[in-house]
Amino acid sequence: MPFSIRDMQENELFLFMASPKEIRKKNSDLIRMITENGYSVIVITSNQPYEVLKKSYEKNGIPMDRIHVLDTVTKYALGREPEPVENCRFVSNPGNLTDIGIAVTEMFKEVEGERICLLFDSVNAMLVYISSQNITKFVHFVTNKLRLLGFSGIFLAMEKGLDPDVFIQLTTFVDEVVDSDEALPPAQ
Amino acid sequence: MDTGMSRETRDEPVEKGQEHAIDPDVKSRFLEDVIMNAKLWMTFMDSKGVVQIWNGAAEEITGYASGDVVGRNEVWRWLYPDPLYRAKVTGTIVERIRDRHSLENYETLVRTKSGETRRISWNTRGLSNPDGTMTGYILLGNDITEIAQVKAALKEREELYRNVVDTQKEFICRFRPDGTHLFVNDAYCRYFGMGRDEILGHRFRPDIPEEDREAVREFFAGLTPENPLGTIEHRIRMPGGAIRWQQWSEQAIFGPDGTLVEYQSVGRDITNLKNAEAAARESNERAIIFIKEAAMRLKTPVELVMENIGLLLEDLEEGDVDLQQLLLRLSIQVKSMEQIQVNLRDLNRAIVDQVDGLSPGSRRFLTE
Repeated sequence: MPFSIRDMQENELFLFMASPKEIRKKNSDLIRMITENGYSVIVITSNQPYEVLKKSYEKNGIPMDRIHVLDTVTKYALGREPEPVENCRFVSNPGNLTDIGIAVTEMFKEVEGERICLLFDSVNAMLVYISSQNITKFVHFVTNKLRLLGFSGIFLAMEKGLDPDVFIQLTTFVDEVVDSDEALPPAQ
Repeated sequence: MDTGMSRETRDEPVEKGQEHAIDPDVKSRFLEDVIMNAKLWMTFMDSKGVVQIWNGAAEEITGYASGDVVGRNEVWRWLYPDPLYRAKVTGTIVERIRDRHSLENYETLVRTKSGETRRISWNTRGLSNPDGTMTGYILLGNDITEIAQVKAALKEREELYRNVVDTQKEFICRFRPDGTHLFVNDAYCRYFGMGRDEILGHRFRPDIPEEDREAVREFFAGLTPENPLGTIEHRIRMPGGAIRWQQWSEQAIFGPDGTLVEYQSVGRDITNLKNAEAAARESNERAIIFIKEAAMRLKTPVELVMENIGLLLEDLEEGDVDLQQLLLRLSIQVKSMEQIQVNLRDLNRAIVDQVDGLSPGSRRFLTE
């Protein structure tokens, strides 16, 4: 049965497995589906910069006013503070989990009361910069926050890109693991 | 064997009181024959040391013929050429005979005619007149050279064996099934910090931690007459409480009826070996974890970068990317590649640390 956000209960957490080829498309498909279901989305990206995501979402007809982005790569790549954007926070380095943790906490506070789903893109992109042990701790930290606030969450990861021990650990933090074979509804 | 006696003579009973007195001539010839052909060196010398009787064994042992020595006393100088040694031997014999009339098992070294040294054990008696004047000495010499050599060799071997057993680091012990120890070497005593007397004859049982006891019990129960040998590794708790590892090679010794008599054990402390094995295992496990981690941080990130560059090219073809965005997207992929390179170096370092036998060139290639 295809994965659908309609099936997603409040406060439900998913580990969503996709291939590197599919990852940007899955990101957009998931965002569209989530927003269509009345959720606002917090995207933590360590793969694509805000500008690229924005273009991709707009191209897919996704309203940006429902989207908040925590961009961990733009400032790092530019080596300077980017132009301020209303619905985006930039942190200095995708490996700086303290800054990312603080930013996530603040963003959660800002959207309190809204119907929120977090999209984490992606575990593997973050693995370039930090160890699996630290990323596991970070995912645990974020999932705990989500559960406390009653938010939902989807953590994107790449198939065959995780050591089985790390994968098993991550599965213990979520309610369900969704394989990309379980096709999402096509983009409109 | 035919003795030359007739059947009648042999079978004829001789009644008590019918014995005839032995012909003194026969008796004399018999005694002379016995003396001369005895395997024992038999000599009679007078009080001045002049040899009166020198039997065949004396000739055979010393190499000096009866004709060379009888009626003379020079033979003693030949046999004991060292004047000091000769004086000591003579003094001992004279003194003992004077005090006790006999000397038993007195050992001397004699030089034979061929120059060989032989060890003789002497039994000597003095003969004296009723007035107490010494008339001569009966000397019976037993050539114990070979026996002494065998004894010396045996003693030497025993000392060597004892030396080997006591100086080696391995612990050696023998004990009965009830734990009563029959033998322990120095290493065993030193290891347990106990005296030999405290262990021997006592039911000494080293303190084996509870978790190893069942395995030890099973091991000993598994030694049978068909399979009496085995090796076991287990821990023991030392008197100070420290836990040490030991390895024992056990041999169960069974009696002819198959009853277990005792165990012979050779053991050694393998704590350092066990610690080294554990460290190697731990190091190996750490290396595997590190290599898996490094692989995880290389494999998909490279695919991800390639995919992102592919997407960038597609967007460029579609004219969907301005210069600023192009620079940003390329910069991100360059940063990722830089980090992937760092991760690759970390992986190489882990490989270099773990793999023995890499040439300096290979090590440099992997780490620089």
